[in-house]
Amino acid sequence: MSDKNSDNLTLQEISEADTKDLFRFFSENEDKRIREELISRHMYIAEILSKKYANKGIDYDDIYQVACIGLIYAVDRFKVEKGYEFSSFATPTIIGEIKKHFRDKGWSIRVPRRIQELSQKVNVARTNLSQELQRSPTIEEIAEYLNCSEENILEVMEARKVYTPKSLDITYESDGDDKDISLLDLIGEDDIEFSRIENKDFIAKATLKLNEVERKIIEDRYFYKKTQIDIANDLGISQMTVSRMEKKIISKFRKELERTNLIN
Amino acid sequence: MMNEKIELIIPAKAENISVARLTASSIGMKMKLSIDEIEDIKLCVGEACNILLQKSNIDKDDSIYIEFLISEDIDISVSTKKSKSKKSIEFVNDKELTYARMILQTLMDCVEVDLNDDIKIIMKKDMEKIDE
Repeated sequence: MSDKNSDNLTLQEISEADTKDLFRFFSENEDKRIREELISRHMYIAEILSKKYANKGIDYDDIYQVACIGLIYAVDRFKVEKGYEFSSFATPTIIGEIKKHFRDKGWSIRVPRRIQELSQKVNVARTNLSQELQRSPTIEEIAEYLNCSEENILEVMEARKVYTPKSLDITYESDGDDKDISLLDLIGEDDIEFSRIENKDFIAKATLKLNEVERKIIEDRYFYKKTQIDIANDLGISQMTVSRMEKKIISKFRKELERTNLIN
Repeated sequence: MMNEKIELIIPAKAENISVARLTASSIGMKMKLSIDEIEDIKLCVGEACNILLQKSNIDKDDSIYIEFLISEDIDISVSTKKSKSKKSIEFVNDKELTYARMILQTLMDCVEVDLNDDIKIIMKKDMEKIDE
């Protein structure tokens, strides 16, 4: 480790210095040249993360710019003495900026921020209440839970639709692991149980009753393990529609199963 | 038990569809439907309006007429309302229309289409009673 006074480092020394040392120097004197060096050394992080979020409704260049801004924030705020790797700190910072950008850009018309924020709260309320009540909550229940008017809830539900379908996907997507958006995928557990059902006859018969679109959704989801987003793109409809239809089909299957069980 | 008819007429433009959807959600709330059921109905009303806008021969001088009949269940009818007598053409029967109809059939309990001078899409939803 160098005992040099960080005030008079040459460019050469900066470019050769250890990253951790550079961070230390930078926190001492905020030398712009050190800052630039640190940023350029870590551009790869911004690139990797930008690629992850590309092709989801917003230009790569836009995302890349936002990612770089996130990187700059991270460089400015990083405290090397805490002992963490810079990349562990930079990654969530950059992703946060990207997601914020999607949230702001993703609303196709100007929607007041309070509506955007309330929209997130409605999602959370919906998930929590669904779990608590073991059924889908009413608007009244959600309004009471959030202590706001029922009309606000309806307003927010409608405003959400003005996302382009793809950016809506991003806002609620868990970090890059292709899981479905819907937090309220109550059906999730039912899905797993369903796919364990050995009764091929039942499935074959029930599937016969489905129309072409329903069949495609079920096949793609459960046999080809496609995401709702992929299926939506194939069919030229929104992810939300696929999600609603999938829930509906599963509930039809369940009713059919109950019916056949009753008969047997 | 209430038995009400609620009617809505909107100029046939895409930007007005959200008025129809919001009205549908408000009615759903009045019927104490769950948020899931409300979203289904909104989607179907929106899809039905879209079908008429895109696949029939109405234009911005015409209107879309939406009628909600609520009782134990909900019956929704979405039809064109032409400003002048314009003969209806057959729906342009393409893949998109087929998919749209299938979506409606999945989410609603019954879907019918009437083809006259005005095209009418009728959808019914039987309410799931909570204690079932």
